[in-house]
Amino acid sequence: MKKRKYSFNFYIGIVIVAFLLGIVIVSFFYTPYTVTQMNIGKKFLKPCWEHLLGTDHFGRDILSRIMMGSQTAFQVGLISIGIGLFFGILIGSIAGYYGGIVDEILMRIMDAVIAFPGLLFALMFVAVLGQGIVNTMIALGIMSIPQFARITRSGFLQVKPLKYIDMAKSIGVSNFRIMMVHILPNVISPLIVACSMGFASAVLAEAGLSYLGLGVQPPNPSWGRMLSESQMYLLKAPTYSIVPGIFITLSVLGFNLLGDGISAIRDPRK
Amino acid sequence: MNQLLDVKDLSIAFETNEGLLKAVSNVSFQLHENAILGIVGESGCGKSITAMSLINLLPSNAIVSSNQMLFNGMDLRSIDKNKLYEIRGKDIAIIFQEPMTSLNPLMKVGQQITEMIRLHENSTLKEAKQKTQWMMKKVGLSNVKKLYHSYTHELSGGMLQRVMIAMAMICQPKILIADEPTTALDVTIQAQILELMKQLNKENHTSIIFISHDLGVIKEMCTEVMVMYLGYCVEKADTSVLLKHPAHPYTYGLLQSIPNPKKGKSRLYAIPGRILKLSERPKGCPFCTRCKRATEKCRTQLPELQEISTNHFVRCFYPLDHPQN
Repeated sequence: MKKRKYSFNFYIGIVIVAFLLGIVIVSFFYTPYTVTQMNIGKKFLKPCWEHLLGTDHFGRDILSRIMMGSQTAFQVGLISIGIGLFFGILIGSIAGYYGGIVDEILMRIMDAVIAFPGLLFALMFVAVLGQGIVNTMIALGIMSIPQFARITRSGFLQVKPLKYIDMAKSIGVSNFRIMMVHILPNVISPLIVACSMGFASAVLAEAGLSYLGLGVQPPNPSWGRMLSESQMYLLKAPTYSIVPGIFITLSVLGFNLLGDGISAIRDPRK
Repeated sequence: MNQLLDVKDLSIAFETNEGLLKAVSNVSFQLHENAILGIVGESGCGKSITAMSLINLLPSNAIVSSNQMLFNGMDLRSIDKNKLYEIRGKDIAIIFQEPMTSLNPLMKVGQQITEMIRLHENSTLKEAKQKTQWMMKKVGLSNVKKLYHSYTHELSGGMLQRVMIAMAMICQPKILIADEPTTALDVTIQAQILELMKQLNKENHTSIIFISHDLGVIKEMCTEVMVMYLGYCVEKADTSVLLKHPAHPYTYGLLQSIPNPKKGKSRLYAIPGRILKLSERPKGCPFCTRCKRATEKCRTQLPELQEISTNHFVRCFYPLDHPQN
């Protein structure tokens, strides 16, 4: 086997993502303080040994809240991407495999979904159906369906006319099995890249919605919410707003670099 | 001999933007048990789609009509979907022209053969695996344990064609459609593959529909030959009769075109003119534009397929010399 060469971006991306994933895993077992534990006497502490990243306006430990917030971010990312991936693959493969009028109808619906700006649609969705993390995830999931559907469809269009699909048909493989076993594996790698990129935008969108007060509801911690709460005390306690900002940036950067690195691996020109 | 396949007046047309394109017109043929029927013709004459239409493998814009399409007494035209899936592979198997592109590059070679067994037989994965390896050995592959776990890019064209044959033969189909199985292979491998197919034909009593443009190969393989031109069957006879006494000018031209090393360095013969597009098929005899003997009658009237001697059919007003004429 030839050794694969990974790009620099891939390494940086994977280090950042691994770091964040580590935080998520640790947060399930251990946080320095309980996230909702308030201590008014200790508000706006600067970073010190007791509170590594300081405390907020209720005297809650920022490090603990960041750690729990990472759970929220990953939860939203995973579930919304999961929704998008499932329906995207379903719609894309049916459209690409059967073609014709079915394809036309499904893809025009996808175009209609794309026409809405993502965050605006999520805002509308959450405003109508109620605030909260579940609706946020559903809204972000719906918004990511079209990109997965398009990638899947284009892959199907490429592979469907190939000889080995005829071959599979000629030995009596059913349409569903041809779609899932013979064509889908060809589409997996662009989908993985899209997942990584989509994860980043989901994290960002969740932070945005929570910042506006529509996503995660207090007292549950969320990076976006921390950012919005901290902005009033920007001068008094700069670390309070800088830290969640860094984490949002880091996760978006990490997943984008990872996606970029993966797509570079599968690019035969490099 | 039992009649396995009986097709009468098969016509295939394609719906395109430029209207209806007739690709195959009124082709009839029978396939007997244990026989090898050759279908010869230039590219685009409809030989492949004739065979593909049997198990409904044509693209969705194809319109197939026929007076009869019987397989083993079963009407292939009005068969339901599940039965069709069952027939595909189990009763009628296909070997495609290019083994390199006809196997899934993302699946292990062995898995693909195993898939065939699992689709048509109730066997456990282990049994299927063993059967696959046994079959792979039988078609002349060595080191099958390793090959089972190889991907297509790791194998040569000849090996892949053997894999395809193993796959096609593993459920012991009644009919094997071989669509130019040796065109993409070099000559020594070609001989081996043909030998292998002949052997399987003898051992398993599988009938073969052998599609080729190479009359030399047809001569080696087939008991009966059908010559097609522009979607028409122009001549049909037993192989020995057809090769010795071709009655249609096109068949004669094809036979003349085979390079003969004994003749020395003379110019190679080629049939004059070019193959017409399907959209410009002449009203009369399809071959009239390239035929030296064509008359006004040929250009305006379509000759019928007539039997000029026992089991020797030809679609020509003026068939070439024949011992019985």
